[in-house]
Amino acid sequence: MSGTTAKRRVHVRNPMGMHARPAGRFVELARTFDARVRVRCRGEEVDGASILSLLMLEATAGTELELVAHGNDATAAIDALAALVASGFDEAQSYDGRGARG
Amino acid sequence: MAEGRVAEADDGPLDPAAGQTLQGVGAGPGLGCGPAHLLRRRPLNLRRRSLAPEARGHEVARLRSAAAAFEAELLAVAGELEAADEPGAALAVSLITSQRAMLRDDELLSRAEAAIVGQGATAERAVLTALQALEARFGALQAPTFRAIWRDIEDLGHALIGRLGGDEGRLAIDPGDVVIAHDLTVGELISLIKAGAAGLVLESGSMTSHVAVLCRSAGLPAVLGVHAALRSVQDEVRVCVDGESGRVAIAAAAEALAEWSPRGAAGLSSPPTSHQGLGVDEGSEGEGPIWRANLDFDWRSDHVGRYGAQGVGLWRTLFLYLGRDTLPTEDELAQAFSAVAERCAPAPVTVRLLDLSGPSDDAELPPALRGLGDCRGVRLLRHRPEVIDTQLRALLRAGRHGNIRLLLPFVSDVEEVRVIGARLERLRAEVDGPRLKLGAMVEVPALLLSLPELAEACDFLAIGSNDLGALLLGTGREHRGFERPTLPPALATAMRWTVDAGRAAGIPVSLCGELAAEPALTGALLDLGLREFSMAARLLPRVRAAANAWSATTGLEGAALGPAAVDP
Repeated sequence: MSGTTAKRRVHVRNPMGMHARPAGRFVELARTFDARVRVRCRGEEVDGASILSLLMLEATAGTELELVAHGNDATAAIDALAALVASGFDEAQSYDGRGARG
Repeated sequence: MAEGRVAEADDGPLDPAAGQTLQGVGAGPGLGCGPAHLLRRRPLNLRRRSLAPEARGHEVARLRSAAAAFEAELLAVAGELEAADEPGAALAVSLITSQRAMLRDDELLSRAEAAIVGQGATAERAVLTALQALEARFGALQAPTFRAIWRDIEDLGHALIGRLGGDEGRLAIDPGDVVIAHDLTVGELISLIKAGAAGLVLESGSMTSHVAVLCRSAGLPAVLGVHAALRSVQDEVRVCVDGESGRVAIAAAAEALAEWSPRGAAGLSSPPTSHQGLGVDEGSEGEGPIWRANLDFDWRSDHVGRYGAQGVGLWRTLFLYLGRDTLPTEDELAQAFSAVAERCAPAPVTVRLLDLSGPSDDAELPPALRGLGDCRGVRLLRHRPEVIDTQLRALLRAGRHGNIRLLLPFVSDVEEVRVIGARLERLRAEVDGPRLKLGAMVEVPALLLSLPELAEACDFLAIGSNDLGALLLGTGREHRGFERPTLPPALATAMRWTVDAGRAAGIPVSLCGELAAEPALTGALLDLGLREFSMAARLLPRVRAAANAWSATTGLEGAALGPAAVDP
């Protein structure tokens, strides 16, 4: 693939980490770019378009991720994805606890 | 009430005619009753016979088109939800986004395709093979919350396998049915909610699963993780689901609740009341009783405002600690408390200090709070003082944004109130917070022996009638949720004493147990002198109507019904 490569380190900030819903948003956003996105975490590197791979990184709160994009819009992709992670995935609803009881 | 029995997961076949009670994990709020509607998946076509090489291309296409159709269906549901703009819609849409991403994921689809092409597996078996590989990998993860995501993936995979067998039509239910199934996808659950399901029982699922999150957000009574559900219930048998205690009553055990409904609940010990033709009084502060809302998992949504509650009478902060691996930070807690305090101001937001309800919650709690056994209420101070301090500091900070009241759970000695009070005062100097009103739950009967002293030490009292009744009468909490709450004489006397002690000290006394939400008892509770009630906000209208009926028959209203002492 032609184009540029862009990289950025970013920390997961939301309390619940990059669990199912944040990872879903990450993948959804990554899909909107032509660039191929890879995510590095603790020495592992996975496909940024695979929610299951992202979940298996266990990116709990505070985890450092390195985002790497390669393609025409690599810089734009990295900017958008890094902003999403840094915003805590806009997770106003992230740790909405759980069921009614007692 | 019929004696139910609790079925264990490995019990043999159960007699479907007998009344039974099954235990699971309560995941959606409230009680839902109706005829059972069993959703069974078609038996899986999991033959091991290898497909001929020339048939494999067709099998791959069958897998792809089933996954694509499934994804398109989820996308359509998300679109409808976004258009409807209902509370909880954003949450459901984000869950659907994750599920759609999973249905496209190479870790699932490419691996399944490889099993078809390489080994001649059927599409169904190929998905199962891919799921097994994922199960092993998720099972090896360290963080419990990430490991738990596996259950959602498994449910989604099984739904995909079901679709390969053509079972999309299985969701045709009648409104009012209680749905019993092994598992559901988010899309399926949304369809069932729209079709008017009254309750849900699943064999799979946990408190933190996607389905649980959605049930809570949609207000659907649900019990998950009931292992024997499908073989314990028959279609059309009456079932009651208690999303709070996690119990499912079947047949005879549920029949006892047949007439359980707000309008069927006349008599008992209240004055004769009629619910006919009564509107809901919007009630203003100082005129008539005060109605406040309980908050738990739903603290983010504005139930309080929607049902006209005057602030929050009981915020169960346990829910801020469940389903996560780390303790919430002071900032997180302060943010949560401030948001609600701001929304409710000037009405009070009564925050109950963390009350661990027992070892059954251990699996859902962060490791730092596990293994504390039956360490209830303020006793936590002995074992985890730093957890208490974090909460106190957060409350003091939030106090700048509204009217925060601090409520101490499971107090057994007035000295405990003084100890926390002193601690609060010391921290107040550190964080430069306002003075907070401090109150105690009256739920341990020992407190009844020192009520005047307690009332002097507190700014308000809150009666927790669930524990107070159970401890006073020596009954367990095990049937809680399935019996209509009653008001035994000893409990009535205990509440009257508490009200009198509050009056004498000039402090308000509220009631925040299940009794408060039982319209048949509202008159009796007003007779006892109670003027402040807290309950799930959506239950307020029917209890207010009962209070109006009571005031119509007794001729008491307005100032005569007003509270003895008021917190705005």
